[in-house]
Amino acid sequence: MTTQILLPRNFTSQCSHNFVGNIVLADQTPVDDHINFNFANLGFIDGVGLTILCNTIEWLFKRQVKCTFSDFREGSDPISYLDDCGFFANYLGAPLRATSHVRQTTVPLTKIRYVESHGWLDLRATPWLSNALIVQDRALGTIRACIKEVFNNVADHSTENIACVHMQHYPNKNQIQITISDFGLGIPANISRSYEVENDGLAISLATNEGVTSKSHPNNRGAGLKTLVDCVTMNGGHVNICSMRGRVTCYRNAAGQVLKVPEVYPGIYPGTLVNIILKTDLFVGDDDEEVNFEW
Amino acid sequence: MVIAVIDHVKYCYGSSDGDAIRRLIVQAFARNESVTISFEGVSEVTSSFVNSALIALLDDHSFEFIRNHLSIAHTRHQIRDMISNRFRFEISKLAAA
Repeated sequence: MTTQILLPRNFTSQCSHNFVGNIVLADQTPVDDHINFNFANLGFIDGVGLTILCNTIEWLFKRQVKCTFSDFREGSDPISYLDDCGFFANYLGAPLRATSHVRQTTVPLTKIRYVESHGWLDLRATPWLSNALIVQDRALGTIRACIKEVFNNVADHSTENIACVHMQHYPNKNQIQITISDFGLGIPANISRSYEVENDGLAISLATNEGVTSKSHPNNRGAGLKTLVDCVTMNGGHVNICSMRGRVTCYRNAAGQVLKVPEVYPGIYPGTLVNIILKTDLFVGDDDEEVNFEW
Repeated sequence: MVIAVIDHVKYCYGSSDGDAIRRLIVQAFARNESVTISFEGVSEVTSSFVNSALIALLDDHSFEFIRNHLSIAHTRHQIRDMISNRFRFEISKLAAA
């Protein structure tokens, strides 16, 4: 049997659960042993959509599901974008167009093992972020730490120790999106080991509170996600976390309070997707002065 | 005793990096030495690193002892914030217990 999956017209973070819900069953098994992804309907895809698509394909590959692709209109904007991000080179063996190239506004989706993450951050992510945010490398310590917190979460809570990472600059929106996804156990599954929570949205929201931890490592103290949310929202950004049946959007209101909006969906996102949205026009880099710490 | 973290760990990233630094601090404390940890050349630290390197000291020492015997030098903005935020939370948790 082959199950046909029609990609959504606008494939963005909003589609995560509906899209994956057609592929991942409630018992977290694939819907079929052959899935054909049909691109005929695709009118727009952003970096988050691409990450969701690739993370799902990798999840299927891991379960020996055959994946095929059809009806991609060469030359359309979303297909050109996917081609420039290396999607077809990766999954079909060659780009669709001879002119396919990585755009300056993209750090294309890469599968990164935890042990490789520091090198990727130093050599690939930091120079690109420095250019996009128009700040020196030394001003990026806080943002680098936020990305490391997500990688540490992947290493601590995912059995895979591998994440799909994509970065996209949207100059017309003064926005950078850093999307990191793994297909591990998922935050709600980890949280439910130690806490009783009503639903997956509330479980993710709880996990962003300081001191909330599943104690998957003796020195885990529930500070990583809290640090991520505080630092990104302090810079005028948003954090969107999607895991299993839940999603939480974190941002700061005009009074400076961090707001967390939990949502619940019928579909299951296998693993965790963290999307960091930075506003390039509001971003304030770290001062780089080294001083002694005062207790 | 001065411990320059970059002499002992490549990055201040995972909990194993923090464990390596904490072992050095604990050895110095056992010799009744005060310690200065230098973060010279370190751009950022994670919460896992700070938890393992510094917060875990609270398991065996009071905050007063740590404050009197441990100095922290050459810290950038992110490192100072991470250390102070982590200690503030853990100390308030201990006080409430």
